[in-house]
Amino acid sequence: MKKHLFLFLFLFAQALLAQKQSVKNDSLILSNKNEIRLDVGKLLFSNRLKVTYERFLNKDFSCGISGMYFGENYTDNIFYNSNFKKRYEIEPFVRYSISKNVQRFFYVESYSSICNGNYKEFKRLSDGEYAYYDWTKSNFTNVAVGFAVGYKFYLKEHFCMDFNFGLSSFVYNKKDTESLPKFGINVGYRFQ
Amino acid sequence: MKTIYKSIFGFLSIALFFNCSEPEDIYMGSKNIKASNLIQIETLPSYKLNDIIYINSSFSRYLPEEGYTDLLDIYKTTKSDEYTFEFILEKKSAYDNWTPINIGSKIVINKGKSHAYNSSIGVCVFNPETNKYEFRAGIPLLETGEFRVRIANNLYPAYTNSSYISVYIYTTINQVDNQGNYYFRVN
Repeated sequence: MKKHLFLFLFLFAQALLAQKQSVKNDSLILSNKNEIRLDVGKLLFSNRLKVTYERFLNKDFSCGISGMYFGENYTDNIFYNSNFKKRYEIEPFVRYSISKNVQRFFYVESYSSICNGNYKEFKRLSDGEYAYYDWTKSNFTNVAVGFAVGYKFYLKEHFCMDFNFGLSSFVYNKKDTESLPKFGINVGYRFQ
Repeated sequence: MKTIYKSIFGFLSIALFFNCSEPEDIYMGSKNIKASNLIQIETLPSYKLNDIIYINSSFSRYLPEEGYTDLLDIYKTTKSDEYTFEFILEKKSAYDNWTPINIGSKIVINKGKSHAYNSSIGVCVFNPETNKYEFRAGIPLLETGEFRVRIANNLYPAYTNSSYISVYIYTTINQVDNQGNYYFRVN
């Protein structure tokens, strides 16, 4: 909880500073309605590739979709006593900017995550005559919904950096998990 | 520009902090089962100098598991050729203390193997012809006095074939008290 509070206070302090910045390129940025981003954090720190497309509906609202591919060596142990391995994840989202500044702003996000993968389970099996225990691999598809907060700023009218943090929970079959956190460190390009 | 650098640094620090608190990704499968009388002390009515007291453990790879009707194949599960248990011989001193005795090379091995560390390790070796784990070893009684043999009531697989699944067996032992001690006197 302290960690979340610290993150919130940090982002809030940055919001106060950000409001003092110049807004001279606002109209240029707003004229570009599309943006693509690459999550460099996941690419550099873990074996994942996440690409996001975002469409700006107006000054405050935007929507988009992210696709994430998990490399062969990536293992996400979000399930107690099982070895869960995602293969891909599709994440539609809607964002609302909570800052008036167009060049740097905080936002809140509602997102859904459709993920597919497999997980290893420790199971009692039978060879017909005798039982034995072994790890078995099962396919897994699930949908999670959650909320995120983030901060984005534009270095020029086209290039941006985007940081976000969110928590989601599976809609069904959620007995093994509490919450699914996500972090994003993105670089993006905004265009018409 | 300083604000941007501070933002990046702050976010990376927080992300790293969260990342460090994630659980480790190593999981071991393990199972505990209970089976009666897998270790026996071959007792004699009385003991005299140079007698041998034998410890025997011979059990099938197929063992019952509570809650199931079919037998559990512990060899197929663990892929282990060996199951081990600990035992120790102690002698009562004139001061009423129990002193461990290092049996060392004096132990008489009939089946299986034995290692000596702080205590003796009985190694039940899998016999594919009988489909049993087998151990039988004798402790020669080379001194007179009050003795006890203390035997742990659990058997552990030895990972000779790099198995990742453990089946721990909790068993009962004949003639021992609640602490796993069998008391006897050598005349």
